[in-house]
Amino acid sequence: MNQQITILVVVDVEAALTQDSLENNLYLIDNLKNDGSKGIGSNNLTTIINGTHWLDKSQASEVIINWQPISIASLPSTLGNSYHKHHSSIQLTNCIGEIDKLVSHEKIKKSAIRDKIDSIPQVYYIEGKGGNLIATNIKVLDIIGNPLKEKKDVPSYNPPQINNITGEAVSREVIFPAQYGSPISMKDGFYWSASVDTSKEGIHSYSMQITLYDTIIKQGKFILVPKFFEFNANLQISTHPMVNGFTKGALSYLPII
Amino acid sequence: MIDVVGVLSSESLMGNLYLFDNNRRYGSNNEGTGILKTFVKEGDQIIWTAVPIEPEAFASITSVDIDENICHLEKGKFEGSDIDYWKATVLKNIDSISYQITYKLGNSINNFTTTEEVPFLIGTEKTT
Repeated sequence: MNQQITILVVVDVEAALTQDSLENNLYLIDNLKNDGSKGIGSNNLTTIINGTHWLDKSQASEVIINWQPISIASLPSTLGNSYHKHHSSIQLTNCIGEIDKLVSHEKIKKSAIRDKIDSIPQVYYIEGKGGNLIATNIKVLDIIGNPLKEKKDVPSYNPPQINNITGEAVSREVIFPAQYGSPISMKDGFYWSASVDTSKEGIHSYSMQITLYDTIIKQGKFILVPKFFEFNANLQISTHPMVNGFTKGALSYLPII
Repeated sequence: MIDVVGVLSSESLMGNLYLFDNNRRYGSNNEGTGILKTFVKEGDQIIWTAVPIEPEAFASITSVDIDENICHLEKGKFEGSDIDYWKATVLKNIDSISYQITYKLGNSINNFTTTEEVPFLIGTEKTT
């Protein structure tokens, strides 16, 4: 049986971009409070992994860590990262229907059609190498999922992206991280996951390479600008056996050392 | 953020609720705890959403209870989904008021309310 560990990387994206620092704007949460993780909810997390290995140090049962980045001032991650695509497709379809009705009316007003067209959400652009703007299919939505009407309104920030996981936990071969694709809507695409060599007792640090997307307005368009950050956290691997959180008893087939 | 498994196994929100807001640089404190103090000014809009730590678990907010003279509350649903949010506009500057959030978690029949650890809205208005 695999123990699946979730580590949430919660970021106040706007504050981090404004202060150009993740230091006071990033919080880490794992789901191992009962096992003794320290610093849950703070920016200094030590995730406890109770080691499960046979007496000869070979692994008895794997432990998998899954990282999920979350932005505080954004549409909730439970909607799925591609919510902006689906939601706007609904809006677009409705809008086209409305415009059809207006056009078939005898006395149509141009302003009525203009209003309908204005309700179609805009998309984000990114800047190409030559300075030209390239459209993405990410719609500009506010925090309750409506298309942004005014340039001055606050958009729902794109969640932080983890680009790589490095550090001594990786170089010591304690964790083996990789990026995986996932059909689960909350992850929607890529996420970082690592299996853990639970025979390597001790405290090991790792580093997350994180990209935050800032938004600037140029030529009347919303442009995404990536900014790069790095943040560390710790893993502590112990030889304590895993226990069932509900019964506080042992799991089956585990050796008690 | 809610540790749904933690709440269901201990039958309490205490220690399993990690509340965050995006106003720390303007005065909020206790980020990441069940006793979050959110700094607000008159006219600010507040939006509450529930996110379970483990994506397979279910969590939603059934109600937010706050003084009606301070916040006018509305419930909304993200279009095209079955996920709710709660929204409020702060009607006047305040000193400090507590409020409660009630959650439905997993398929538990009972709902869970923030009674042991309570979040607050705080502001600059000092009451004499």
